[in-house]
Amino acid sequence: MRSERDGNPGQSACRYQFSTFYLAGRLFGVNILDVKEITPQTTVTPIFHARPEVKGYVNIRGQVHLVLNLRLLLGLDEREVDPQSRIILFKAEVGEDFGVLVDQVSDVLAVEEDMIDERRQELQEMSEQSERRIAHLGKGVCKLDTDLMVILESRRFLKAVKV
Amino acid sequence: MTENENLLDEFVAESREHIELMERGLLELENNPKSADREEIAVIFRSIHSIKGAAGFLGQVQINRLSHVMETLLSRMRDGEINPDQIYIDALFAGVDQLSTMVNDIEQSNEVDISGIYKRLVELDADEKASLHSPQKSSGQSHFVLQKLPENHANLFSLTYDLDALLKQDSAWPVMHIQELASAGDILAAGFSEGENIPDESHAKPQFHLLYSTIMEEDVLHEMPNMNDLQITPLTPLDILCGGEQSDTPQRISKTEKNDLQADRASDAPSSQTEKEPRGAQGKNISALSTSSSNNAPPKESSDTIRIQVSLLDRLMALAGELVLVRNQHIMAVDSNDAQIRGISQRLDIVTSELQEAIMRTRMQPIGNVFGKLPRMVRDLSHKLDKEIDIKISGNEVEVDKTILEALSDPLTHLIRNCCDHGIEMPQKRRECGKTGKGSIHTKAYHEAGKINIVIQDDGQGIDLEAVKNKALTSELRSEEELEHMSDKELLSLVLLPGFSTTQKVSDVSGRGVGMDVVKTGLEQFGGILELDSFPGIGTTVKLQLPLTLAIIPCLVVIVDNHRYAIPQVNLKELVCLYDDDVRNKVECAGNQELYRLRDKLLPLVRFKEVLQRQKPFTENTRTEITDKYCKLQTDDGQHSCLNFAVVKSGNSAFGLIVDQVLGTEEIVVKPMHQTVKHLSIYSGATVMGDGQVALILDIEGIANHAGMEISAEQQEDSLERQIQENITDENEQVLLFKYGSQERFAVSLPLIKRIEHLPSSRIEKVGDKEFATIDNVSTRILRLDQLLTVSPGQLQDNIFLLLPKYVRRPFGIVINELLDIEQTPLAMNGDGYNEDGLLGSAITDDHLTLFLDVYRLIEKAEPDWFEERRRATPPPEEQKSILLVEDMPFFRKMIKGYLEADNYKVLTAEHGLAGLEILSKNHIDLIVSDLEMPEMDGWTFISKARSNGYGCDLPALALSSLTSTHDRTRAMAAGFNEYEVKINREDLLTVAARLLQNDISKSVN
Repeated sequence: MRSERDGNPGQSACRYQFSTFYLAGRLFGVNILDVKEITPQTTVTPIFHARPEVKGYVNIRGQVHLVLNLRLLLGLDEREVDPQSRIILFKAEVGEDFGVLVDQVSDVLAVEEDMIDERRQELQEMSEQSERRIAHLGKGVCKLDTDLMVILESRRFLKAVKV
Repeated sequence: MTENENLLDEFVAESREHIELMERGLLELENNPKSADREEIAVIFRSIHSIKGAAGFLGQVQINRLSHVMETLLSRMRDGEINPDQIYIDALFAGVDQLSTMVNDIEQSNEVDISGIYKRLVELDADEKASLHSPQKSSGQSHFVLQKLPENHANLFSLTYDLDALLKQDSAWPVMHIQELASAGDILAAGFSEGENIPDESHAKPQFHLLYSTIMEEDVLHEMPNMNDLQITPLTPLDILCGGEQSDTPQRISKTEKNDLQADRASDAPSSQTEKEPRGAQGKNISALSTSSSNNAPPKESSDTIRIQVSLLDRLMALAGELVLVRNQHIMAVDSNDAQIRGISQRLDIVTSELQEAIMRTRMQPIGNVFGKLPRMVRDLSHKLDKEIDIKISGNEVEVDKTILEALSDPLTHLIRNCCDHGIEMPQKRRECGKTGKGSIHTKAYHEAGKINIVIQDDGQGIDLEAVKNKALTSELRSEEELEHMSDKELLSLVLLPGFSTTQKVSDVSGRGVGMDVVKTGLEQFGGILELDSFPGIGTTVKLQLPLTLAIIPCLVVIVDNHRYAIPQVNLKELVCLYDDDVRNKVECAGNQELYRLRDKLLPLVRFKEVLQRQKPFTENTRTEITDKYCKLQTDDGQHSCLNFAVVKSGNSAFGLIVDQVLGTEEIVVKPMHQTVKHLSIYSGATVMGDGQVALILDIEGIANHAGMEISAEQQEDSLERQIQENITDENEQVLLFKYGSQERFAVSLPLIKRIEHLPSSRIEKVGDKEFATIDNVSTRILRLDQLLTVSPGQLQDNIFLLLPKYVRRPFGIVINELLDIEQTPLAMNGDGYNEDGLLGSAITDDHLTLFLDVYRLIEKAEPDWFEERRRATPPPEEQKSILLVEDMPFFRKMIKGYLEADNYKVLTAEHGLAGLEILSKNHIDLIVSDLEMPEMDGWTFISKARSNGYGCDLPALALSSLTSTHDRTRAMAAGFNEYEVKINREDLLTVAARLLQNDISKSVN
């Protein structure tokens, strides 16, 4: 139901919806059309020898999905999985069965296009080492009333861990 | 358009089946031309007819034309007009090949030049007609003789109208009729015929003939309006151009059914009237034939199969896999106290298993689908190579997963080609070797232990090991020194090395080897195993072992670092679990490698935990680091109370994979690795376990590579590794060095030792002057060397070692105070230096004098009456007999000679088969005792030579070997030995020797 509202012709054509989540206290968002589901199933089988950003495999109803550690992917520090942790799984067109591990999911946010700043200057304040990575995976930032949301391009996630 | 493509796809698939059928039929026909029954030809005929019909419908002009001429030839063959002679069969085969090429490249098929084969077939047909039928055919004259046919003529028919009947009909009829005809073809000519030309008197009326060219087939033509009463005669271009002949009677017409098609216009010609389904046309045609030709062709068997997209089956398969998982989870979740739920759960279990099995079977295809191609291939190859080769196939019905079947096709073709090309000799050479001129290849498939086994056996010349050696030398794959140390089996396996086959001259140089490595790797990719066995002069056997399916495989589930991993059962040889002291004592460290002595073989160990922790392939340093870490752990005791490892094999090498815990075996559904992590070599896939968690499936070969197991086997500079290799292969040539007293060093051949027991001295008890200890709940007699030999007495120690020998009838042990080392048996043992009864001799090892113990003599000295039993049971012959002992190792030669001489035999020794033959020719010998693996000439060759050259044809012969497999045993027996004994088993050796000599005596008395 949340996915259909976006392309609604009655509304502004430039309205986007984002599935938002927290990583290290910061708010991030991915296009909700890319998201297949969000699961609390966070028991992940590690794959040794794979890059550290690869968290491991998770079984979602018989289908094996690769889970990426989004914290590491963005250059943030690693953290233990806790009850708040979720895995956001993406649709097939985003990439072969995969998902990302996030600290905590938040609301679905609808945002007007003009609220999105593609130039991501606000990212400057992010920590030094993670900046470049976010810049690589990020699409822009969005100023909200109380917060700042970094918009990530989920289609770049898998590519980022390719050898 | 897409519909058209679908039709075309279907046509290709169908045609392939028909082509296969035809090939099989033609082969059958070729092999039994006499007994060939019409029905067989009819089967081939029907196949080609189906192709022809469908090709015409789909505008496949060239295929249609070609199949048409083939059909013509076949129809005449079926009707017995011509015999299925070689010349026709060859032409038909060529036609089938051409068809198959065209069908496989259907897009281009219309551009293919088929004139060669087309002409060949037409000429055959024409020749045949000219020679056989023209005299009788004089009455049948063609109504039409044209100089030239239009370029675009299609099927040709002669339509004969009875003018009398026509007159009586509605006057509008002819106009409509001609319009109809013109809409579906061309009227090329028309004319009257006179009554006397028609043999059938009832037709002796004025008749009108049309020469009609149409895209339609004869049976379709019949169904056009107003055609029912017509006499329709199919014609070939030849009939018209030669003007020679037209079929004379309706019977003949139907029988020989000649219709040519050069349907350039086929695709744009109206096809509304043609059959929608080509197969239907075939069926009708046949029934039409049977009515007129009294040749009772059976109706086309109704098909009970349907075509299904493989992708759909794959999907079903995946779903079935999921269901299995759900089932597993369900079983775990179910409260087993609730009887009702339990019942449901059990039924779910059963149904799921059966469903899975049934779906698996949908992908199963009989292996005959691949085997079916072989006879044809062998036939062609044997013609090409001028050899006579027969192929026998059994196990066609064995079913294999489709993917495996597809992957099997190439390797199998390759192997059969090798058999024909290199294995089977030229007929003349075969006769010279005393074989039949006709070589045979036997291919069989069978199920065994959940796997498919395929054996390809030829009775050719086998693989020439000398040539293999030379080849390995010249291509610098192995050094001369290495080759010398290799056993026959190892030499054979060289053939499988990549690079062994790179040069084109292989077939001249070696017996086999064209791309055998490709075959092997191809098989290994889907979990198959290839074994090669060859006996020079007798033949070669290749054994393939394949899994039944790839989607679900049995695995051993293990735990490492709290995570589960699955080891495919294919790779698993056995499990070893060591406890307490064994963990410390049995795992040795050699250089940077941990080793375990598994039944006298040194097995390198790999700690999987360490493999997981290290992303980079192991280097020398990593290995040293790991080994140091664990060797230290072992010396600090108490650390490991239990050590589990799985003995796994990949290719030809085996190693022990150390894991934390073994859970058990399970059937698991294989999921491929995610694209992003596919490059990781240590995994082959993933699976979902019963509790819903994912476990990784290990790729044993990848792990071997990662841990440097494979590399080290090949890196021959690495001397330590080579030593390990040699240790594994030549473990028979090792001795244990130890000390008893303070002075002397002693040595005992390693294979003679059952084990070394460590025990406190207090456990030794005295009975009179004899000492005993209880080991394995058996009272064991203890021997001290200083009581039997003049050596220094043993020091008093709290703990001693007991050496327990093998092959003794009663348990006893020799006291050892200090274990020194394991060494290669020194080649130069001096029997003339320091010696006394109970010693085999002495040698210098590490600059020390070492005394080699004759363990059995020592026992005999201690307990002489133990041996009297045997001597009483099978006494050595009374008069002294001569025994020829052939043995390459000086140590064993001496030892065995000693055994034999102790029983009052006269022993002549030879170092290898050649020397043995010479002795045989010059001396009187009563019994041959020979080793098998020897340089110069091995035991098998030696005995077969001895058997054939007259000197040793009826001598009893005993093979002695360290090889203990039944295979070696049967091979030795086959070569001509009467008995087979393990080398160092003194008691059995002497018993058998005595028995053989007795038999010999009784034989000569009789």
